[in-house]
Amino acid sequence: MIGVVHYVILSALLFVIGLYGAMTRKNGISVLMSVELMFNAANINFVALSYRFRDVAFLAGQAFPLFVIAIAAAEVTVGLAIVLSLYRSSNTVNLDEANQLRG
Amino acid sequence: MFEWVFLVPLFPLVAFLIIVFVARHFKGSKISAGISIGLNTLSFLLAFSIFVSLMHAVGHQVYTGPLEYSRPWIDLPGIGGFPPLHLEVGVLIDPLSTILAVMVTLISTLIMIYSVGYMAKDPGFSMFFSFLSLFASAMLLLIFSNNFLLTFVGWELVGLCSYLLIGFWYKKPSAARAAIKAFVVTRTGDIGFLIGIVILYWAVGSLNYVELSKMDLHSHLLGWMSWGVPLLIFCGAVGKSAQFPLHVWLPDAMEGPTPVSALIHAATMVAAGVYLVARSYFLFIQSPEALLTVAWIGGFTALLAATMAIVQWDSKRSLAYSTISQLGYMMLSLGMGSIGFVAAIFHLLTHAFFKALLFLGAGSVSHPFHDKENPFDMHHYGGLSKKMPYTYMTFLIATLAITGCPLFAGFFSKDEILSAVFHAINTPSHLILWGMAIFTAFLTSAYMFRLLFLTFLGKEKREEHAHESPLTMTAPLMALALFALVGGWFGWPGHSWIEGFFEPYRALYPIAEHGVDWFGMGIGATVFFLGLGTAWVLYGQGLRYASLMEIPVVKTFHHLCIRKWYLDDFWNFVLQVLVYRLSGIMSWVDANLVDALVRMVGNFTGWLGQVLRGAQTGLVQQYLFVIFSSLVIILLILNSGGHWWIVKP
Amino acid sequence: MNKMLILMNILLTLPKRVNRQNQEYRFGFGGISERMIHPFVFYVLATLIVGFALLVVTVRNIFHSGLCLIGTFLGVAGIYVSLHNYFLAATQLLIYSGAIAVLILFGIMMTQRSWSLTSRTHNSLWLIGIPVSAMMAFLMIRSALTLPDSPIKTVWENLLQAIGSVLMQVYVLPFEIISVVLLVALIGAMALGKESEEA
Repeated sequence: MIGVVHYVILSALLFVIGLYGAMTRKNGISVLMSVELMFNAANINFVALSYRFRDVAFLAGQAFPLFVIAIAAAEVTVGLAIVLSLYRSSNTVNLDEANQLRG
Repeated sequence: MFEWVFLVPLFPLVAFLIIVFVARHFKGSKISAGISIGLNTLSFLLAFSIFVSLMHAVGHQVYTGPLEYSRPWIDLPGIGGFPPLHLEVGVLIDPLSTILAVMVTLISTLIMIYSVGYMAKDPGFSMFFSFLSLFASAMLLLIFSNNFLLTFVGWELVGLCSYLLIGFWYKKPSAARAAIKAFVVTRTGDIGFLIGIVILYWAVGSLNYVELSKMDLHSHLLGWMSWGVPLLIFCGAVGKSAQFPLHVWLPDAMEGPTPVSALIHAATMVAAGVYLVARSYFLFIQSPEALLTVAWIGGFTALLAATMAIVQWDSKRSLAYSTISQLGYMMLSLGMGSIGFVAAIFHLLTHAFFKALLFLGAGSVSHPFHDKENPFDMHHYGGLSKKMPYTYMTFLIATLAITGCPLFAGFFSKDEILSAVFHAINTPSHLILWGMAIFTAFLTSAYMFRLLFLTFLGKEKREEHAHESPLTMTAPLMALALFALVGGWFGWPGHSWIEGFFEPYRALYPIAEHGVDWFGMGIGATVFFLGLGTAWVLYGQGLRYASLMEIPVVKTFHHLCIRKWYLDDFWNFVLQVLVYRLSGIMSWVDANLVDALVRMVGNFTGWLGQVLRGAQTGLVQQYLFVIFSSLVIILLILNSGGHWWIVKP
Repeated sequence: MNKMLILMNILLTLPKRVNRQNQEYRFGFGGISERMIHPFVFYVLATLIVGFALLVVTVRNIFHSGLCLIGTFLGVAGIYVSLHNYFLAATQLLIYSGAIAVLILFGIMMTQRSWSLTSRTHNSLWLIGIPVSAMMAFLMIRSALTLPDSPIKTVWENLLQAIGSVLMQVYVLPFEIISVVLLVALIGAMALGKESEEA
């Protein structure tokens, strides 16, 4: 029987892969994609765990991914706009070249 | 009636606020003067009606004791060895406070009227009146307060006003220096005053005058405190009333405008010290040592200042030394015990009027000489009696009053003091004091007539433009002259009104009855005429004192007086050697030890910042890496239950 | 904490709550009522998701990486179906696999000149990132294993209706705020794009 734990482990794997990508990819758009993976992992967790806590928070877990998706859409829009403006200003999308905030 | 007494100090305060925030900005008009004079007159009328009511009550034997209206200010439970703190804000109405309030409001109103003429062309006209109003308010607060702390508040406020007004022409370096000197020197005394208050509260648990006066202080003030506390409080009075050795500020304070000298440094503020001693007389009366100290300081100051007054060529400075001398008289009288209590207050009142008159007269004389480097230098004067008839007449009355010419104000009040000292003679020390007082009376007569002769008699010094002052200046002179003339009659020997008014104090401070003291009066009149004669011989008919200077003793004495008995030099020495050198050491410690420590902290922070700025790479992914690796480490530590080096499965 | 849970319970069970303790579980994928996913199907889906996700973060060609991302999104949609939330699955398909993926692919193509297949795709953290991520995964999985297992079975007859009423009743304020956030994001994206044009 496939229970909640299986889903949670899947989501953990997906999250860690996204984390690795966000930490190590040079390309700004790749980093955005990795962040999307992490969002998806969170969503899976929400829905799966709503079965674990179905007596108290079932509908909350089922409805919350909708908010997350909306936020993710907004994030990706703004993120891409930032990457594009970085590309236009310094002709690169590599994040390790964008270190103007160095102390 | 009496419950409105709080308005008396409030009216001048309102005047101050209005001038500072509103009226000051109307340039060129005299609206500020109008506000000040109007509100001060209201204050005077109120004080006077309270005075009349109180007089009525005393006269009909319905006065049962001081009236108090007070509100709690601070209420704190006791901490450590300190008693619970109950401080209050309140007013106290008794003959002493009321009669002084009348005197202060009356003189301040008259002097404000005088100032309209005297300060007419000054750019700081409005501010001058605001300061005067603030001063009047603070002085009335001091007078009416019913406890030591509130008195101290008023005490410091009048000190502040004194500082502001001495330095009113602050662009003149000497005025600025004099203001600072006055402030610092009086503050020196105030430290003692404050310490005295604290010790008193610690020992007795109350600061209220009425409560304290009803208490058995002997059971609270043990050992050294019985004389230590009154003497510490007397320190404040020494500073404020310019007694030896803190008298050095008052002559320099004459750098301020003349109305200020008249109001603050002759009539009211400097008398606050005498008032303070009188107000806390229950502390002094229980300690003979304290009383004797007060008497000696007062008597010595009186004599010392008189010797300095006689050699001054600056008319205002001469009057300032005269003020110190007269204040010394009052202290001497208070130091005689309850027998001199009323005499001191009486002399305070009469002195306030004639000394204010003398200062205003000196100001009026100097008015045509304002383009001189020092308008008060008597070398410019001479033969002004015809040019300034009103000033001359009023000045003459005041001089007769202060020197103790029979029937004038000073005659009665000074006679009271002399006879009080005479009746108190029971030790050699008191006999010396009496001799000093008599000699001072002779000197007073001499230096005052010297001043009068040098100014108004003799040859004119080609001062064609010398002229009489405007009516706003001469009218207050005449009003004050009236009081200088008849003020003494309130203490007519045998039928003394003032002793009747102070009858209620007889229960507190038993006064030995003595009848009309013909002997004392005779002595007083004799020394007056002796002084007058001496001055006439030396200064009346040309300056004949030059031959006297040939005598070595006189020459040395003269030199000592001119150098102010080296007291200013003494204080300079104290400042240079002790204060500055100590400050130098402290400054070195501060710069090289304390600051070094502080700088070390700063430098360490800077160094740390230099090191840590390397971590601020600006690369977001490195931040992310640091965040998550830290999270991993933290989680590992938490999951291992403290044994973080063991990774549990 | 308990009180908060009870409060949430009251809030979240506004519509009629159906309690079906003793249900018959039929195995299978999809379908309408109380069925549970077959383990085989789950593992296939999970392998797809993890595989595609690994490709996303490792593949050299960033365009391929974008395509793999779509694969991951599709797999996650399948996961939602297995969790009986069909509306969420549909939303996932529409918004992630549709809108966001297209947006990202456009972004990749617009910045095409800046990357090449020969340059390095990972920064200096690529090696040290592996143990950190692995440790993170280890911790997360370990804590997941402490969780008591619960079966996946439908609780609501008509889930979409329930979600709708929750959105409009309990979460109406976040719902409205989200719309404002989207608007702000829209304007922000436009402002960022326009500003760079001028510069």
